[in-house]
Amino acid sequence: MVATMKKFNFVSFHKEYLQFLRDLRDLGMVHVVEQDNKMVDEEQLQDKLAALKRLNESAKKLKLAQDKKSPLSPHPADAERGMHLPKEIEQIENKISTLNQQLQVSLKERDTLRPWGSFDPETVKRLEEAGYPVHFFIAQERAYDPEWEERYNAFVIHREASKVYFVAVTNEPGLADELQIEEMKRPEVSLDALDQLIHTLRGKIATKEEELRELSAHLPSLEAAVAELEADIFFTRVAGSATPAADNKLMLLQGWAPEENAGEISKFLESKEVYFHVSDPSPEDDVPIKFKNNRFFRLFEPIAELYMLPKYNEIDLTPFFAPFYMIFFGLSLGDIGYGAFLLVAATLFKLVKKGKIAGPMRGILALVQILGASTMVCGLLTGGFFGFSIYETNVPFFQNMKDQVYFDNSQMFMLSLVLGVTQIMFAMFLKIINRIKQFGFAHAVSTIGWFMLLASVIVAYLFPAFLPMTGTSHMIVIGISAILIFFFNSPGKNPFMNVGLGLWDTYNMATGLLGDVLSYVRLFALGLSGGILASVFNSLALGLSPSNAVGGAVVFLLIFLFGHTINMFMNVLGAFVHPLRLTFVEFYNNAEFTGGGKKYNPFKKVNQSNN
Amino acid sequence: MDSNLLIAYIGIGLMIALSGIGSSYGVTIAGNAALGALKKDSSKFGNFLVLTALPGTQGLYGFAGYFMFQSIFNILTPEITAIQSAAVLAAGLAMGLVGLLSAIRQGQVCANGIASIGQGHDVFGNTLILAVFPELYAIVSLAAVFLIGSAVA
Repeated sequence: MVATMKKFNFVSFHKEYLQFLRDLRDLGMVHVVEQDNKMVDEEQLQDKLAALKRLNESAKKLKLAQDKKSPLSPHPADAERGMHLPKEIEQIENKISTLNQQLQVSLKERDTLRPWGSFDPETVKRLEEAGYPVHFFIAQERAYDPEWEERYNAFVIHREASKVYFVAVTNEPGLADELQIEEMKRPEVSLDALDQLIHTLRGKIATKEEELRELSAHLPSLEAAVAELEADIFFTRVAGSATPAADNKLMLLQGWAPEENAGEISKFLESKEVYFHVSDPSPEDDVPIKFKNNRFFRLFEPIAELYMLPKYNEIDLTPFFAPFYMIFFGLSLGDIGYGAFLLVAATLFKLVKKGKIAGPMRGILALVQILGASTMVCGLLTGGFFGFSIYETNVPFFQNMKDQVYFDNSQMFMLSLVLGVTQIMFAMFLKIINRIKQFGFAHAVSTIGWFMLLASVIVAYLFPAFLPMTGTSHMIVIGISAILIFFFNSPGKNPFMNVGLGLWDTYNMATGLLGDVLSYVRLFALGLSGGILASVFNSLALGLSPSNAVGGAVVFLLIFLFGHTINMFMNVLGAFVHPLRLTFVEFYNNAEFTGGGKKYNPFKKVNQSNN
Repeated sequence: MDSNLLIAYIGIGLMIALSGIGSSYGVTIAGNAALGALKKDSSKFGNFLVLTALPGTQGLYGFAGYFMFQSIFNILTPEITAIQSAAVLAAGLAMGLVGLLSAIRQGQVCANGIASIGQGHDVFGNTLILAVFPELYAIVSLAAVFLIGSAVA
């Protein structure tokens, strides 16, 4: 069901406008119609959006910096503190990146110095001052001439990777060019000093990273800041949605609220400095949609929202597709064991995480429980249990049950089609009601004709004794239906037009219905192939495991668990998606669902729970 | 008859090979996209892994089809009749071709989803839903292989 809504028109004096909005937000029940807008201070909003982006990025960084194994106990949330965090994080990050650059340079330098070993450059410098200039050379092994030791006072320091590192104590200039070898500049620092520097740099980086890690304890503050800023942006948007009037002295604002809250809202507003007017929605209003279903059907609302919300004056189809969806999921998965697994897993999760589960998640878990239970029941039809068939065992109880409920392949195939016909007929029935509700009885007449025609064919097929196919009474029903279909399909148009549209309808029905019904074969195919794959994995597990007791059990378990995990994932996915398609394409189309409603999103503080 | 068995094994070969090739292509297409998208958002590897694995099932179906003829229907013996071998060939062609093309196409759907996720659109659920549609026809083929097998065994 879609909750009945009331329209609120507010008129506020411009000086009291912001205060009024704050009051409205505290109340948290009114969906304010946002306009995409003229009045919103674009620049201000842009700044806020940019700040929000920065906050979100900082949160991501802190989450990365967090030590997963021993998380710090989080500090209490403080939005004010959170707002400053991005800057602090950036400072630390800049520092780390500078340090890293220095580290890279030092590492490179160390690589060039390493072959020469550790020595103090000061000593070399003093030698030079005393008249013994020392040159550092690197030569290819084969280019090195031992005669140089005599001629230029060369001393080999190190040999590595077919290179010779040597020094020459000589006054001869331009030796490198003459011998065609590489000369290295005299180093400024010793290897030991460089190692020391690298060690210090690494220490500094570690300290900074530790600082970042410690900041991650402020994540709650950051999250609070995000929430506050989001609320602020929401507020700015809403504030800009008013239409100014009377020289900007008055602000006009429009909002929506569920009828059940209208009294409370009026009472609240009467004490405030605002004029308001409550009215019923007119047909051209774009009314926000709030679902109002009982506890069971509410579980299926997230599924309905995956597609589109209904328009305000349309029927909400959620309660009508929910039972079908449940059965379809069960048939598509079709394995008692898998169903039991879903049911047990969801139940355990609920028990273990008791109280820690957020609202929407609780609903989803309940939905999983229901779908799991439905799978267990539908699984009884074919008797699959993790790929084994319970009806092939010699347990008398199961043999007894087999006689009662077992469906073979061709029966399952028929069952899928029968369910399809049922759902489509039901959809057509809803279409009649929908048309009567939205446009009046006259617009539903031709659909009634179609419904009668199809229903009579089905009845004649099932109970030929009661209504013989194409017998006199059946022909009368068909005749009446044909009149309804061809002459009353669009009231107000001329009869020829009606006949033409009737023919077009007939063509669409003949092609569309056939395809729609056959589409339900997927229920059978999904259930069957899931069962086949499961039994293949079982045979593999049994066939491949060696005959010794321990090894056999281990291999069996490995293949069994691996195979069934994949199979269950794929089948649950399929069993979720394909009934979804049957709902949105076959069912919604035949029920003539238009959709496109906006969700009711009351203007409130972020942490305020939904009424 | 030996020639009957030969025909049947050609069907088996096609079934395993074509669907396996399809799956290899499918997961490669998605995997390549995942590697590219990881550069933009490395935190989504879990999502990418699941989407990349999706086109991998067709190869499994081909293998399952072979397994059914081998162990469940037990018709891959020298006593196989002409009709049975023709059925195996037909089943193999159907499963193989559908597996080949549906896996490649499914891989493309997944790859586009992965690229979108990399660019910051949170479309994991949507991709999962859309990617299952091409898979249906491979599932239908596997079911058909089973039905063909049960009809002639």
